[in-house]
Amino acid sequence: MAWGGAMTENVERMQQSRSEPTEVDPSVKPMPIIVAELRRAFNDPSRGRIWAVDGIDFECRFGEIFGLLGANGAGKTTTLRMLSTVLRPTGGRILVLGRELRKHPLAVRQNMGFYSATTALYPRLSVRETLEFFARINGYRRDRVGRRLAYLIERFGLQDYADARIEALSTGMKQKVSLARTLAHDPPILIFDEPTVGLDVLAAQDLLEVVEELRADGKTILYSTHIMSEAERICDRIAILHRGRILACDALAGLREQSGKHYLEDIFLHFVRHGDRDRAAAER
Amino acid sequence: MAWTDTKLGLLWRLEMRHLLRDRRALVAAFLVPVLALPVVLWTARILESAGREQVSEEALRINFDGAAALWVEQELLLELAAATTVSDPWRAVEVEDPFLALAQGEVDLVVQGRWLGDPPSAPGSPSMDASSGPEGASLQLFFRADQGRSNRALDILGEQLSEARNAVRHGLLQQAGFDLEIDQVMALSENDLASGGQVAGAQLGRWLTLAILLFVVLGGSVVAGDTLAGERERGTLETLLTSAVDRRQVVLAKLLAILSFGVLVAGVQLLNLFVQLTWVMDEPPSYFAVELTWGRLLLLAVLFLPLLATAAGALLWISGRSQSYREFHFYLLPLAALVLLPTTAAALPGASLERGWSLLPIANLSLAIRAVLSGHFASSSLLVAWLVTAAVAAWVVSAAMADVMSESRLAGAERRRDEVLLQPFERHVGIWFAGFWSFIFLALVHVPLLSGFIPQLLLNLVLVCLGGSWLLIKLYGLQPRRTFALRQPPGVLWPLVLVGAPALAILNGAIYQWTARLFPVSRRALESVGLGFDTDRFSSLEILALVAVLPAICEELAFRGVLLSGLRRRMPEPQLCLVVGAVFAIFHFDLARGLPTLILGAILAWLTLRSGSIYPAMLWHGLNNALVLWSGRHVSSTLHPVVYGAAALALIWVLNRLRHQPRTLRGASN
Repeated sequence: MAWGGAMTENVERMQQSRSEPTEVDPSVKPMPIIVAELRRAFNDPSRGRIWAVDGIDFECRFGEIFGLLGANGAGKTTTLRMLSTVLRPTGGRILVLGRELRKHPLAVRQNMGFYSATTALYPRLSVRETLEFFARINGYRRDRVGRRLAYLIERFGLQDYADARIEALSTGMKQKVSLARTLAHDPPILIFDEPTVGLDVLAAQDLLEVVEELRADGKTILYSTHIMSEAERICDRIAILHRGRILACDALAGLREQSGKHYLEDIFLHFVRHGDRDRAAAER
Repeated sequence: MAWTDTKLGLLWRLEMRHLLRDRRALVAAFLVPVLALPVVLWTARILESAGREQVSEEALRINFDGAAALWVEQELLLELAAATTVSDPWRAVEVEDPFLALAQGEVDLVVQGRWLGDPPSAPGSPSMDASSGPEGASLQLFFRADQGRSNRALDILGEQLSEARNAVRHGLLQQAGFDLEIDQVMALSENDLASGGQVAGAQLGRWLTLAILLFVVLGGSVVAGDTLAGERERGTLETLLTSAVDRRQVVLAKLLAILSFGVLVAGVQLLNLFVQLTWVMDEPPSYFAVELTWGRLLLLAVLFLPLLATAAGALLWISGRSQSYREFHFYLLPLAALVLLPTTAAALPGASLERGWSLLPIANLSLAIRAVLSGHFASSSLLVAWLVTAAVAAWVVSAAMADVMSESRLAGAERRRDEVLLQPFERHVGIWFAGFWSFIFLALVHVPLLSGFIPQLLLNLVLVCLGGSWLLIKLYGLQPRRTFALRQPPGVLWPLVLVGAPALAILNGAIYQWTARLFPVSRRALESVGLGFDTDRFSSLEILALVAVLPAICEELAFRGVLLSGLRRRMPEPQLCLVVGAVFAIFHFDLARGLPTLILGAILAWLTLRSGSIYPAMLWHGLNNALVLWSGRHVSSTLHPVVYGAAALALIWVLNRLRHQPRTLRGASN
């Protein structure tokens, strides 16, 4: 294991029975996300095979915001793209609500909302058309779509723009529509990949408030960022990811205890430096 | 549940809704097709009637220069016109300088005449003496072939003079005691059994497939560019991929959207033609006056379907392989050429479905469409043609979908090329090759010693290809084994080379015949393709060494070795192969042979990338040159269409096998 935190019972059971298809005990309410020994390699023309994610384990619990904290190129986006089934893992396993991701990709995506700076909207569709399409394509019941749309439009204050085309909206409004799009099918799990990249302070603040509200609504949230203050503010537990490996994973208090540092920035640097030193020693 | 409520239906509706709100798509797919045909039809009609009116209202102006010419005009032509009661379409004009007037367009035709002997003693009484009657007149007609009126004046007066000459001959025969009327001597009459509609159908059928498919490719390119390359650039593809929908359905919906636009464009064109000819135009221009019924219209629509599916599949393919609009447009031109060029078969004299052309995909349906328009076709030939192109369309669509659905294409799983740190050699290799080309060009132009075959061979192959490669290896400290890909290839590739090389040589021969029509070369050059020098001076082994072995080694080391090695991290695989093929073609300094050489170069580059070794490319290149040399001596320039069809199938098989070969040498994003 790459980090010293306690592995949950589910993960241990899953790792023990790796050779067999995983079936989680139906009497136990399945964990929203369990990731075990996840690996992903890329072929780089100049450097050959590169492990962007190199055997990571973590779990996300119900109603928590789990943070993936790492510098650019640490493997955060690759991890989240594997969780959202855009990329296939090279190795390891992912369970979402007790279901093996490789076997049930559609069911997994149906229970998941993915938001990132790269998930754009169709510019020539209206707000209403966008939300309706993503609600229905994600399997939301047709007879309930109207009510869901009305709720989302009201929640994000989109009443005056509901029939306007996306291309005519301001950046802030687009961000709201994008959030509404992520929630269109009311998924229990939400993934946010560096959501505040490119946003001004006020827009970033609004987004963080929405994320906190969603936690209050009982959603399980996986939140990746390289901004320490964001992670410090909203994450219940944080995994520090560096060069494809998780160096530490705990609540902020636990990380402070392990590192002996107070500020998250110092904690992050502490683990990264130790990680680099350990890796160099192992390579020697 | 309605189809549009299924996930595929929802995706298709999304694509269509989004595309129909794009002005570019609307203009390319709807407005232009709607307007194009009526504009062409009405312009043709206006020009045709204007031409007629111009001729009837403004008579052609002819200058008769010289006594004999004036005599012929007064005594023969005017009399003939009066006798036949045909309105005189020309009038005689007098000018000071006839040739200056002809050059300035003041006169349409100049008739210059002189007497070979004495002029006739009395008008209208030809003499038996050939040197003193009208038969003794020598006339010369001067005209300008670049001016329509002048051409028309030549036709009309030429015909009248012919009639006048017949009348003179007849008079002479009668004087000699042959009491015969003109129409009693080998009476000749022309009877066209084809109706006007059939003639027009045959004429229009030559270009209709090309024209409609051109609109389909242009309109479809706007749609295809927006669906995958555009979505990737905008970031909406990522949004779609994280939704609860199968990738196959995502790609299928995009294919259906492209196909829908293709059907819309072609349907609008065909329906437009039908409506204009049947209901709108009382008197369509003669070129378009085809006999079009609902049944034939339906048959044409069915014949167009495989063509549309092929175009849609190919467009989806290049869109799926492109990271941006810009890259998509880079592939568009070669694709358009590949799809559209075969449709020109309908314009080739002698090409017909009954002569084996039905086995050549795309070309066969253009011939079938021409046959249907002219009303002269056999159902069995149409069926074979349709099935062949439909099979090719099915292959293109399934191969495109399989390729586009792969993770590396759809999710951009591999590293992007902007992350690649280029070495100095990789940055400079293009400039070096431009320098090599300039050197060869200047040397050929300015050094008379290089006019022979052997000096050129030494310059191109030994000095530039070998010497230039060695120079770059030394200058940049490159590893020869790695740069030249001097590795053992997988054994499975050798049979592919042995099948692929002759197949491509045959097809390239056909392409060369085709392109030679566009960039005319002398017949001698056409016949001696592959020889290029005096073969009598060399033995067969020497010729083989000079034409096949030496280029195979030297050119492969330079182009598939150094150039490919320098460029392969800078661009995706298809773009890389096209660029290497294009540079290879440019170095051959032959416009007519440009396209075949480009195709050969691109395939050899792909072979090297897939095999990880230069040796298969060397063998293919050597075989190709040897076969071209041999065919130049022993095979007629045009083969039976069945041979071309078999070669095309063999090459498709080889390329398909190559496609499934794991990549050994990698391009930038592959």
